[in-house]
This record gives sequence, C-alpha cells and structure tokens, in this order.
Amino acid sequence: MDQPGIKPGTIVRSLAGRDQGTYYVVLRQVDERRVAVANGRRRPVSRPKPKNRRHLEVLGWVEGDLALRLERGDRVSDEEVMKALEAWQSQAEKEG
Amino acid sequence: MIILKSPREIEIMKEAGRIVWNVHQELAKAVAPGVTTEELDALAESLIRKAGAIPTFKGYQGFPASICASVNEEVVHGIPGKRKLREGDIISIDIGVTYKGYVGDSAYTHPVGEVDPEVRRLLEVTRTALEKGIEQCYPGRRLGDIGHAVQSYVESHGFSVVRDFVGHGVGTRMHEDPQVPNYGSPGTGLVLRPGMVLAIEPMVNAGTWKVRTLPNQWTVVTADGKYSAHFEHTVAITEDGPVILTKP
Repeated sequence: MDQPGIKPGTIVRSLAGRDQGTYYVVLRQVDERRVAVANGRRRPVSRPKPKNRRHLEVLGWVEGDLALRLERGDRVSDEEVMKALEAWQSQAEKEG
Repeated sequence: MIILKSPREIEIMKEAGRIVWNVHQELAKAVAPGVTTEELDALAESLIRKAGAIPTFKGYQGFPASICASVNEEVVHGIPGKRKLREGDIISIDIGVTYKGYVGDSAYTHPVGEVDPEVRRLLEVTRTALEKGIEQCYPGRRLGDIGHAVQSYVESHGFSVVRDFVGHGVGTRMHEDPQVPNYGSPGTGLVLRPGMVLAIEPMVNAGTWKVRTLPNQWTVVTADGKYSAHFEHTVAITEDGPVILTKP
C-alpha cells in the first residue's frame, strides 16, 4: 500500500477535523504518522498543527527558495507561507 | 530513519513475499465478471490467515479490509464492497501481509474479461514501468534514478504518473523511510545501499496525473475519471542488484 507523498513544502488540504477544507504548507515530519502544518494565519509557523498524513490531501508543492529552505529545515516566516499558498491558489484557479 | 536489513531478515521477508505472491495468483483466477470486491477480500483474508500470516492492511489506520480493490478510475485504496466487476473493467488489487514480524507488499491490475486495447496498453505500460524502476535498484544508484526510470517510460507512452502517493521502505512496518516517488531526476536523492528494502509502485493514469480523495477518506480517484493502473513489488537491494521479494 502506497503512502501519501507528503514532505516539507507539500501544499495540502485538510480532509478531516475541525479545520476540514483548510489549506496548509507542510513544515516538517512530526513522527511516523503526523506532519506539522501551518498556513501563516490561524496556524502560524510558531504554532503549527500536527496532522495525520492520511487526513491530508496533496495539492501541490511550494516552489523556489522556500522549497529548498523547508527541505533543509530552515526557519521560514508566516508571510512566506501565506504567499506560497496564495500563489498556488491563483495558479490553480488559472488552470481551472 | 532508514533501516537496513540483514541477509537473514531478507530471507524472512522473502517468505512473507511468497505468501503475497501466492494470494495474488489465487485472486487473479477469481477475478471475473459478476464477482464482488468483497468476495475477493474474503478470499484473500482466508488465504493469508491459512498461510499463518496477518493481513497488514486490515485495521491499518482504520482501513476496514485485507486488500485494496480499486476499480477503473479508482487509483488506490478502494474499499472492498458489494460492487460487482463487469466485463471491460480493470481492478487493481493491493495486498500486504505480515509474516514472522515482516511485511510483504505488492499490487497487480487485472483486466476483467476483455478490455479496450487502450486499457490493455495502460496495464502493459504500468507493469513495464515497474520493471524499469526495479532495474535501477543497484547499490550506488539513487532514488531519483528509480523515479526517473518510471516517469520517463510512462510519459513516453502518453500516460501520467501519480505524484500524490509514493512507494516506501518496507520492514517490520509497512511504511518505513524512505519515500519512493515515481517521478524524479536522475542522479538525485538518496544513494541506494545493500540491505534497503523498497516497495516500488507506479500508479499510472490514462489521462491527467491529478487525483482526488473520496469522502470516505480512503479511495483515491483520477480527477478526470479516466482509468488508472497500479503495479507494485517489494524489492531488496543487494550487492548483486535487485531481488524481488514478492515473486518466486
């Protein structure tokens, strides 16, 4: 059985929980099952939400410098996370 | 953390893999128009338990069955149920067993009766893509070589590889590090070493690579409703190259 291809920098949507439907960026792995996600708003990078991988749908991946820094485990800001989500959303709308 | 397996552990994993292979042979014979996916699941579970093994998927993060049975546009994680197979369908069957504490994991997509030639081509390309990925499993090669081999073969035939789900390390747990994507660039990523055991599993869509998850939170379907195929083997990397554990 395959597993969700979720890594730091993956853009996801919550499928379950009170935050269902919320878009996030994956910051890092928490444990076998969970990853830490943030959206820079209600979920800032200083207080990310642990989510079960299975309760997340993969939508895409952040690009450029942010992707590299998330991969390396560097600090990122709320603004960068918000911008990445906005960029992804406007791209997705264009593609329909 | 990547857990390397000793030759002795790999021998046990071969036994687990052999059980998976045997169950797949029986299910392949049982696939026919009119058969329900829950009948296939019941057959699989009884064969797995008769072999002294445990169906790994059952109860895994709440998955309700022993096999994943994904029909037509269902990519993976189809939940067995009352759906009857029909002539012209395809069904992807994914099986995992735990035997003597180790997991074997493998998947095949079968045609149900006669299928459209284009659908047959989808199955052939996916099966060959898995072989292309396995051919890269030599010490010193990289994860990106596996992904690239799969992706380039699939895309050269006009199909697409699913990005959202990936293969994985296998051992005492079904999902170990590393993730094994079916896409990538050659010469990038983790260097392969003897003792690594990987589940390589291309999921190939006839149309777009994009997928979505149904409200049951398990079943993944293609975004465009076109068919999808899935082949998988558990493969050990040895000094001499790949050894497929889920095949005799």
